[in-house]
Amino acid sequence: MNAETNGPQPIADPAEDDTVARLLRAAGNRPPVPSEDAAIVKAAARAEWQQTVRMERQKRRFTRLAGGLLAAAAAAILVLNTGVGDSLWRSVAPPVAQIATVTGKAVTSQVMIVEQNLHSPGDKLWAKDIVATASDNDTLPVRMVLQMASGASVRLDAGTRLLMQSSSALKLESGTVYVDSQGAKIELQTDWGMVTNVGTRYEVSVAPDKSWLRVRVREGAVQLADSQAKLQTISAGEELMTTADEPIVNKLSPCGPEWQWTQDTRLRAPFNVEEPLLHDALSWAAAEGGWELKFASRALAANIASTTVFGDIKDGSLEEALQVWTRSSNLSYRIEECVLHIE
Amino acid sequence: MRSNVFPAFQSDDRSLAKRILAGDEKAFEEFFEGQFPGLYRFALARLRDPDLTRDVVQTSICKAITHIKTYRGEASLTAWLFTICRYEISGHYRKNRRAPSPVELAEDQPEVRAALETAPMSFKGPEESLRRKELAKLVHATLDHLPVKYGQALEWKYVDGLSVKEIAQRLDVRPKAAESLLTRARKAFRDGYSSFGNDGGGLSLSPT
Repeated sequence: MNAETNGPQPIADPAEDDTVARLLRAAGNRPPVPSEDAAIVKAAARAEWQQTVRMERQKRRFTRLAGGLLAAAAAAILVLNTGVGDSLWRSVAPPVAQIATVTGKAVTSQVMIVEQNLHSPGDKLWAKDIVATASDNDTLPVRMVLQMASGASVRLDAGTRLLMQSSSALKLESGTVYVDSQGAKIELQTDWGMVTNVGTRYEVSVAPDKSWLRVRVREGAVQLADSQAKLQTISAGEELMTTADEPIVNKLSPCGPEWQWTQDTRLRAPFNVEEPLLHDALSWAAAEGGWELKFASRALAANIASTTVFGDIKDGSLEEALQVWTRSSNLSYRIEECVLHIE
Repeated sequence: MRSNVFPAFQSDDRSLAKRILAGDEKAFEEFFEGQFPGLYRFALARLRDPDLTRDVVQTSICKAITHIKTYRGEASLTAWLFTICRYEISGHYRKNRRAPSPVELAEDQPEVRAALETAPMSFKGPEESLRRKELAKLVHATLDHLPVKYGQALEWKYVDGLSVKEIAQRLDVRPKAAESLLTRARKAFRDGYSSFGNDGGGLSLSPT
């Protein structure tokens, strides 16, 4: 294992090298650090880093402008307003997201372009695009699902205005979004601070008049970094409400009615795997419903891991899907206190 | 004392700091993944409270990032970060108006070091086992204080048994460069190990 194939080593004193080697071997590997702590610190460090980079870029931009480039900037604005710059940008930059689903009419616009475009599934979104869903409407609330290039899925409730910044950064100007991170890092900037996830599902709302921010965490944890870089961690089953007064943290059920809008059959994460395994199907339903999945026995769990399920559940509710899947496998289910029991 | 042991890495560290400030994702990953474990172990050994350690390390790293523009490469990035962390730990004790608990660190105790220096490399019996643990702490603390790639390369070679060629592949450099790095790493390790807990006195790493 330790064979050297690249010639003699340039060692000044082989005896000293031998001692270093024996010391290191006797000590063994350094102990690992807790991965959960690493993830939390990394999320905070990343938020800090991105804020630092943004400020640095702003400073550089300001310096350049102050250097006498006002004429060039004016020309660039002219180009953008004619749409030429926008087309050029879109032809070279990769899109940051794609619209997966729209219920009703949603519009997008570019930051510097007044014209708004109606959007439909399959349309791509670039940095600086603004996505807006109309206010709630009794017959057909306008909602939208974005598939981010980073892998995360973002659901927009009615009355939401969201600025695309990159495949992993968004600015929520107002309204409500539900993020299913799928392991990707998503930074959600608001006027109240930056919300960063640690592998999770969560919802963030900003009041239309920006008088409050609400963060609800269904799974995992998120961190809110305010303008003074003060960090607050919100964990699964908690709701943070921030107003002009002190922020308040309340307990929250991961399967309560607060999450109902995200379970609209048109919005939820797709489950269209060919020949899916029952375990995957149940895990998907549990994640969407905010339930903890529990099996009656280990043997049952092991059996389910190799069972294939059938049945199209595309337009059915989660409970209808559970009925189809469990019945076809001679099983039953019940939901009690946010736990999905499979028996 | 160790100011000029790794000039090549100070140049790399300056470059890394610039890339971090420019918004380079890979640079951020390299910085965090490389520095966090050592810094965490350093703080945990002094604070002995995992939650507090996490907070102190988080604050230290965030402060380092905020002030990364001021990093001039006069010391390694690791040394710079450890200095920030030391201030944070002292600040914590100052804020809470109490003196730090007497934390007995192997690297801070000359008598432990003296015993370890003369210890045989085979450890048998409970006393020897304890001695081995102390030795391990000292060696690990030394590795954590080295530039990240030095510590990694030494661990890969002498603990994990990787060849120079394999280390070169992991570091994405040519084998000759990896050999050269290992030579510098060994020297840095010897100097670092000698400087821990000694008042500037040298330590002879004589083979046993």
